[in-house]
Amino acid sequence: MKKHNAEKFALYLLLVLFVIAFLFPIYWAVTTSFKTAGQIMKVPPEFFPSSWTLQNYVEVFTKHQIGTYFINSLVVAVTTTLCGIIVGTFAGYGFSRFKFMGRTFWQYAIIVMRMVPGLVFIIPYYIIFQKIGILDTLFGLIIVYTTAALPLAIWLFMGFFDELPTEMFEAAKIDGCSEFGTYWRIALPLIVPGIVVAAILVFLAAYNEFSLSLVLIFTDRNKTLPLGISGMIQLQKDTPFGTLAAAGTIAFIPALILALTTQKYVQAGITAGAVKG
Amino acid sequence: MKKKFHIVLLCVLTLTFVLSACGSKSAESGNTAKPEGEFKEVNVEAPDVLGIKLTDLNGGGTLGGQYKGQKIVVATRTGDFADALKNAAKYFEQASGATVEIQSFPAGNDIEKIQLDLNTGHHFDAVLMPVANVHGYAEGGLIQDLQPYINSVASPNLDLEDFIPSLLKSYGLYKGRMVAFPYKPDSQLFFYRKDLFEDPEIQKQYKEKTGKDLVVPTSVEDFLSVAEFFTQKYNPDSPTKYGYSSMASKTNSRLVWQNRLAAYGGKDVDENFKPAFNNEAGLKAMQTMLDLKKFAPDEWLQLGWDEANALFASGEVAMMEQWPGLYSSIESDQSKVKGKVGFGVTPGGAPTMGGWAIAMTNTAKNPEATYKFLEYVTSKDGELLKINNTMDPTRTSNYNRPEVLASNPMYPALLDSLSAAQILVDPDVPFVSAKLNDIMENAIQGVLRGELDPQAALDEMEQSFIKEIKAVGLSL
Repeated sequence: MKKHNAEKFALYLLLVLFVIAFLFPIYWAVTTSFKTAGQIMKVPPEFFPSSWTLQNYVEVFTKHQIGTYFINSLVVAVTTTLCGIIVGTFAGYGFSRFKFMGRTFWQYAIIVMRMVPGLVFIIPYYIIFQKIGILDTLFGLIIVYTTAALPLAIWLFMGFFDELPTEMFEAAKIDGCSEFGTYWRIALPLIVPGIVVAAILVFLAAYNEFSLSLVLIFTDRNKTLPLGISGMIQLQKDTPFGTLAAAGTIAFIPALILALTTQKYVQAGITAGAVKG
Repeated sequence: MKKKFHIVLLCVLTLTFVLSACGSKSAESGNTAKPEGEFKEVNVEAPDVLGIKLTDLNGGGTLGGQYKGQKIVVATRTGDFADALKNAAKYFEQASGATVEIQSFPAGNDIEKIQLDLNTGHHFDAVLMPVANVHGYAEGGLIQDLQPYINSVASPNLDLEDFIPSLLKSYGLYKGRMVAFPYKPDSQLFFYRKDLFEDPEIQKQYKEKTGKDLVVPTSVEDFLSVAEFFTQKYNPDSPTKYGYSSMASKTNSRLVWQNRLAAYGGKDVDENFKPAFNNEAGLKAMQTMLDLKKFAPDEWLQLGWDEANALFASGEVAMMEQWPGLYSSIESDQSKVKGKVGFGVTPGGAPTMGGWAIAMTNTAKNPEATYKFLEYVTSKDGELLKINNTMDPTRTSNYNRPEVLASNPMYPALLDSLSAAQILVDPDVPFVSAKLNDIMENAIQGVLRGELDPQAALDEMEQSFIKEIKAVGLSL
């Protein structure tokens, strides 16, 4: 009994340590965003702000156009997610359900694209986008991010669709359901947890991406959050910890909403495509 | 199967044709070099700056709204540089009729982005960048000679001689051509605790210990003597813990050596890009650096911008060499040395220079309007529009204005330092400047950590410099 309690205590201790390690940086960033410059640099540090200020938020909205960056990031990430899910589920369904010549080759060709570092594509993208006139547009970013997200999405969806029993598709066919109807009415609703997991991964990848947007975006009106936030740091000038923390806190909101609203699907989704039946 | 193949082939060919057709839009296509708008008297009014009324915001009467319909795109780094340009652009737009778009990119990534566009995209008409980069663009034929425009369309108030001569020479000229105008001057400054230097009790102690008067050091010998006096390790009565500090983390440490290199008569590279530091001057500068280490904080090699400034502002350091930006840390409310700091030229009298210059790309769509913008933002009154964005003046006449001098106690020392500076922080060697910085940093760090002796470090640096410079085909 004593041994059992000791094990339990060790487990909880470990969990508490992990929770602190994960949550403390977020707590620190959020509280820093409400501190004045004097409070931020105070030694010993203030773990709970003695007074609160909104000045950092005022500054990020008035001086740094964080609102524009935030909306741009949301537009790009949401559209990329929608495109990734639509194309990914179609492709995943196709690869899972149909046998055709070169199927294995194309499956691996897709995943190989995922293995190539994204930065390799920067110059070709730049030149192509320049020639077709979509440089410095959110549309260009969406194309790039969707392309980058598709290999992972397709492979995830292939796993999810493979899990579904063949008999179900046969039954749908016997009942006169078309192929698209089977996909839309039967297969998709069954892999919703998987869709949610894939959507989170694609959304966060697009939302946080920096290197490609740096090269493909030029003007302030099209900048995304990572690009806008990195521009707040200046060399040979004191780091604006307060405004950076405020910007980080604002940027963190969609991730927080995603985590809170999709939690119930994530557990199921992570394991859903892991084992093939 | 064959039919499918043909369809795919047709699609590929169609796409190729579309892409190549779209690509025919070249930088030269919109050749609207000359003003097309009607010239008319334009009166531009801006709020007074530092109490000074700005009277020449219409380009000496040469703008007259005649560039209406023309657009200028200027690329630079995000932050103060972009903000300063945007502020000046408002008035230029009123005066010229042209539209100015400032495009800015985050520090650390701006150089690659702008280089990429200069080589392939040709979006930018002008670039505001560090001097070493601007000279690299000049060597690569990516920016234009400004002299033809100076000869033909310059403002009567241009007055090139008014630029601080060392700035015009180091920033503006490259291989005898005027490729840029100085925009933001930068020089290592000497910051010292004025309150301690003026304290009679401390002066007396110093006299007793060294037999000399305590004065702000100008020579290296006095510098080391004062630094020792203010270091508690060597003088337990010292009011400060450390006599000297600076940034000595990797990427910054070469400055400690460079600040003495020219003082002893050395240079990084000569006019033929040949290393000019592996000599007595280079060796003595290394030795001074090692001497300073004795009086520097224990964590000196970890001090970057924020850490080094915070340490000085905490009052633990008597003297520091740093860029002018330290001033804002000193004057912040958290600073313990607010109002207690004096400013001077780095001991030895040959500080390292940084600096930014503004240039016109060789693919500028509206070159005349672009030139006028460059001239405008660097004009006598134009550069006062950027002074509140930490862009210090580059013209002697502005440092002679009492209002400007009174606005910042650092300015007399900055003017002296800019006039005395000889070496650029980034070696003025096109294409490989950043690599040469890395080579210097590796060698200096090796010496400071005791892994390399000074002569071996100089030998290694020289060999690596030669290799890199030869690799890009620059003469040696």
